[in-house]
Amino acid sequence: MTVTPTPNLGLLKPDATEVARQWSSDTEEPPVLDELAETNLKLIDDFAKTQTWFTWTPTIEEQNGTALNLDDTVATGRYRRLPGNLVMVWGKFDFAGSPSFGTSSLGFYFPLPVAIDTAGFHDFQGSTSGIVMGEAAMFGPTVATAQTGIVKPLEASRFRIHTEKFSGKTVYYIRHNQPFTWAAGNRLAFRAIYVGV
Amino acid sequence: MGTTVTPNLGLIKPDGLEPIPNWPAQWGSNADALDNVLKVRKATYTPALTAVTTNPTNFTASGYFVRLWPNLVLVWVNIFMESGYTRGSGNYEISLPVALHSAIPIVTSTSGVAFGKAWLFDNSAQENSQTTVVTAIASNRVRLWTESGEANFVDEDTPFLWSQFDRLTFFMQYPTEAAW
Repeated sequence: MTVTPTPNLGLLKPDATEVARQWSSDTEEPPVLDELAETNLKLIDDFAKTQTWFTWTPTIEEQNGTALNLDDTVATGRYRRLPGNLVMVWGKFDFAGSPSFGTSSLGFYFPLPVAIDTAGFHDFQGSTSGIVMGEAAMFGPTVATAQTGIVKPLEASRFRIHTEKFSGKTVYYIRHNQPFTWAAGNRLAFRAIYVGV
Repeated sequence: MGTTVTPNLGLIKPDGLEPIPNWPAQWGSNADALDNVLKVRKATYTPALTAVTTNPTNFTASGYFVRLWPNLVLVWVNIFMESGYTRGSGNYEISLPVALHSAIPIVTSTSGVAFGKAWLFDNSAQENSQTTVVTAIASNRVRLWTESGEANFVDEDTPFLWSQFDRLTFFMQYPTEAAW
């Protein structure tokens, strides 16, 4: 039977004339239609499964990949896959217990749940590169220490957060003592959108 | 046997369980409808950085965008001020890859919405930007709205004096007028 795939998803379209001819010579539904339906529904289902929400537990690493011991911190994360390998990510840390924030001046490194597509447009932090792909909010010990920030990719699988200058605040990429000395009771939230693998 | 057209995608569905003789043609229509909605498009574009009075020169601009459904795009932009950058004068404006939906208000003294987030880098001071958002000045151009004591548009000397090796990058998501 002649079938024509649609240009993007490859859904199979039967030749209506042929099917009508088969139909007229057969009291049963032509088997090929069942096969087409199965193929097409599977294609749609495969596509649609990327629409699912996923949960993951955000972590913080030092530059060398060592995960910080965040003790009783509650870290929650959600991400969603969208067409085009798009990834939308949300994460939040409620620091609790006796979390360790290290001593590195290189800042906090945040692993992503899905790696960035390095063959695509996203490039990494450099002297002339590094495209913003998200934003963040930080809540310190007082209202006055609250700070906003932006998410920038450092590597395919990790990003860093830079604080923004506003209301006289100074700018940093966040680390154990910036934009304030991190401690239990502080909170950090972020979101990002990028093309994943 | 009758059929019903679904309200959003316009898919044709039979009203009963009996086979319908024209099902192949209807499935063809359904397949085209699904294909058009779910297809993915990704493309690069070169954003134009202009200023209201005199355009800046000597910069490199790159942009990338992804279609999500027929009338929504996600866009990432990076602009690097090259050696010998001339900052021009007037409010900076950056072109869009696809025209905004007409429901997005053009920014005025009383209206305007933020649909993106920017990061500005002053290389000489090695400082990150003020808080900056993306807003529309026309259906095909945006301005950057930055906190600088009071809200201002980014221009040749806001939030800092733009010079060579400075950088401007932003990402945004917005509905488009045309389905593409």
